[in-house]
Amino acid sequence: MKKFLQKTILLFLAVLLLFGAGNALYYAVSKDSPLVAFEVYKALDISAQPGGYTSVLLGDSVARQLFHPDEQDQDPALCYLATTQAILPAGNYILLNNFLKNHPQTRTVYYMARPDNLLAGANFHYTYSYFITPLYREAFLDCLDMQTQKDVENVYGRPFCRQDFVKWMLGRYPKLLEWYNHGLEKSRLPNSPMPDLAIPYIVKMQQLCASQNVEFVLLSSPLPEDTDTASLQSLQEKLESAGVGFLFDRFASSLVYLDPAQFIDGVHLTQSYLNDNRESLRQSLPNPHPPSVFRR
Amino acid sequence: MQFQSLSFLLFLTVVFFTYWRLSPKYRWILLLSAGYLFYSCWNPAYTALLFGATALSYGTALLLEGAQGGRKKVYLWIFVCIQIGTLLLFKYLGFFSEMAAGLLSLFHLSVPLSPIRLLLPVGISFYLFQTLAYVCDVYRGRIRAERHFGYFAAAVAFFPVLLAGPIERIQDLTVQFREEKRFSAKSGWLSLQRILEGYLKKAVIADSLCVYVDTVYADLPAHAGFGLLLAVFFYSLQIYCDFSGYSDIATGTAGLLGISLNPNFAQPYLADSVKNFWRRWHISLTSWFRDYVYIPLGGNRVGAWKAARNILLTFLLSGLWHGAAWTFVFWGLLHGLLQITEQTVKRFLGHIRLPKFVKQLWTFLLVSAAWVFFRAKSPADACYVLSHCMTGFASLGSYLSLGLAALQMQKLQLLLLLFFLVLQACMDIGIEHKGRRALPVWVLAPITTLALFYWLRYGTDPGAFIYFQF
Repeated sequence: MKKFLQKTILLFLAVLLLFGAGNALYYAVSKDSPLVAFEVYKALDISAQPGGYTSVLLGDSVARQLFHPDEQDQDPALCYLATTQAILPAGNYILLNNFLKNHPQTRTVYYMARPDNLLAGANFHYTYSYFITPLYREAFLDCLDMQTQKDVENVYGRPFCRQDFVKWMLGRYPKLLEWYNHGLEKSRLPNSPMPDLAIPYIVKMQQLCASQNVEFVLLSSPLPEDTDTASLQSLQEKLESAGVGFLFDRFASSLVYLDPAQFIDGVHLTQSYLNDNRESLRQSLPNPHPPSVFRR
Repeated sequence: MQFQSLSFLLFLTVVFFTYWRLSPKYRWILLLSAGYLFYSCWNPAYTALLFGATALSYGTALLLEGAQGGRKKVYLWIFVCIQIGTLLLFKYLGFFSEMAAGLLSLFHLSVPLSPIRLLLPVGISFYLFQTLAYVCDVYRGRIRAERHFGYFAAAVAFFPVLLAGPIERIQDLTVQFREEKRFSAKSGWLSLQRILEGYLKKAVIADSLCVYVDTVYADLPAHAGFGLLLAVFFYSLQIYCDFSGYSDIATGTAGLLGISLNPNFAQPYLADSVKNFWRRWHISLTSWFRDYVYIPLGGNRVGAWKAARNILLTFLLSGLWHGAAWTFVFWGLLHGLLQITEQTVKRFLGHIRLPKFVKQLWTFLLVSAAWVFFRAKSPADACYVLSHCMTGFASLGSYLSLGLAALQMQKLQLLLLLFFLVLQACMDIGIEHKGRRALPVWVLAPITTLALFYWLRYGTDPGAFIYFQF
């Protein structure tokens, strides 16, 4: 038995050593390449590059369908910076902050998302990969208030938020990320608050824009006709109680309900709808009136 | 508690250390408790079914030994009816009620026969067949009935084989339980290696191939030609790695406890005929059908027609054993027909000698074609695959131009998967010619590390073993 156990432990240690050494090497050569959430890294790059844009559009994945960065050359004035709802309003605030620093001539900021996406808080499925890994970095921590940082690190664990190698391991190995997310969900204390990364950061976006004399416009992504109105009502209440109720008026007037058949999964638009409507939408968006192209 | 779960590894570690610390005469108690604990993790209610099957077969065997003449036969038939009835109730009731409704509708009779589907207790086909074989052997006087209920129950509930076989003969297990075994480092190491091999086959190869196969079979009309052909071959490899991987883990687990199981796979894709394939594939089930269906029917010691009937009937039942669906019936029949054809061809053209690798390749192609019925959702789907997989080769270029996206794989992933497939093939060929050998740590460690890397990086959600559904 002793001999067997010695051999087994030796195998275990050898595997551990090889795996560790291999990863150290792998990390050394690939630490700067994006891990997951490629669209977020791309948006960060775009926001950091100086340019002549006078407006910018942030938003969720539906907004990204309409204003895909790959089609940016067609629009010299509006910067396409929509990513995914998983980065939450807090992630969009970081992007906006970065963008405005490098594009001081900006006059209008559009933030287009579904109402439920504007309300969504942090979760255990996407927040780590899309928000913490690419955006919770030393360079951007100034954008997040101390309470948010404390809440994020309480829920997700400080080393998982701050250590680049840990983030790299979780980004490189989906199985480890799956276990980590599962472990978080299981070990979470019932009363520990999830960080609020939604409404407070919409307010911050509005304040940032106001401080630089930039117009901030909240727009809705197209919704299927059968969408529940509860999230709309909730959004209105929350914006009002945060003191930015006026943002809701523009948001409400931009609401467009489409035939559910225009959606692939109840959220994202079909390619045929996009082909028919995307171009006219681009042209009409800077207009202060609601973008009529959404109308059927 | 699946074999590929962390909880199973913890469970096995605890059982392993406790087992070898216990006095040999009390080990059966641990095995029995471990078996029931393991089984109850799936559904505690079904442990009653396991216990019922155990008690019934134990009692029937004792009764049979004491009975004479006609009464013996009556006891046997009552037992067989209960066992088969239980299997029919849980596994085939839905299938037969649907079939009856279909037949009635042919005569424009509408009887409200709603399909009845009971939750199939995991492993039921395996342990019912195991106890059935035991009672039949006692009836035939081949073995004596086990007197010690504890040893008997521990053999039926032996956790490494409880869920998906191999279908071990109870007497082979109880004999080993009684032996005063001492731990052997050499066989322990071989067992550990076997477990690692099983995990490699299942978690790395089978689960990776499964992604493409599932995508194709989920939307058959969207695929044709090369895409379908690839799915056919991928499934052949997937099911082999999945099921033989399971058997490797089971055999390795039993081996760690000093129990040796009969081989369930013997490099089946190196078979040079369909008949030879069945001597190498799921050996425990094939030998069960041979001993308890084919031979009692007369085997091949009857006229040519009757022998052919026996083959067909045996394979039909084997197909049905796999599942209550027409696809399995067709799969079984197809294998029966292939064997009959093979025998006929051999009789008339036996003098023509072909190189062994040609025969091996031909057998692999036939078996792969038959697997299509096994995998498809319906016989119509299977026919679609078989009729379209050889057409549309003009689209090969455009298919290849899709690159790895078509396979849903990344470059490094495909490269590593090919490496593991070649490694597996080399191992199979090595075992075929030289037997299984213990690998040193310096060989095993890099392979395990690479497999670990692959699984953590590209591993899909651990799908259940294919044979769990049976």
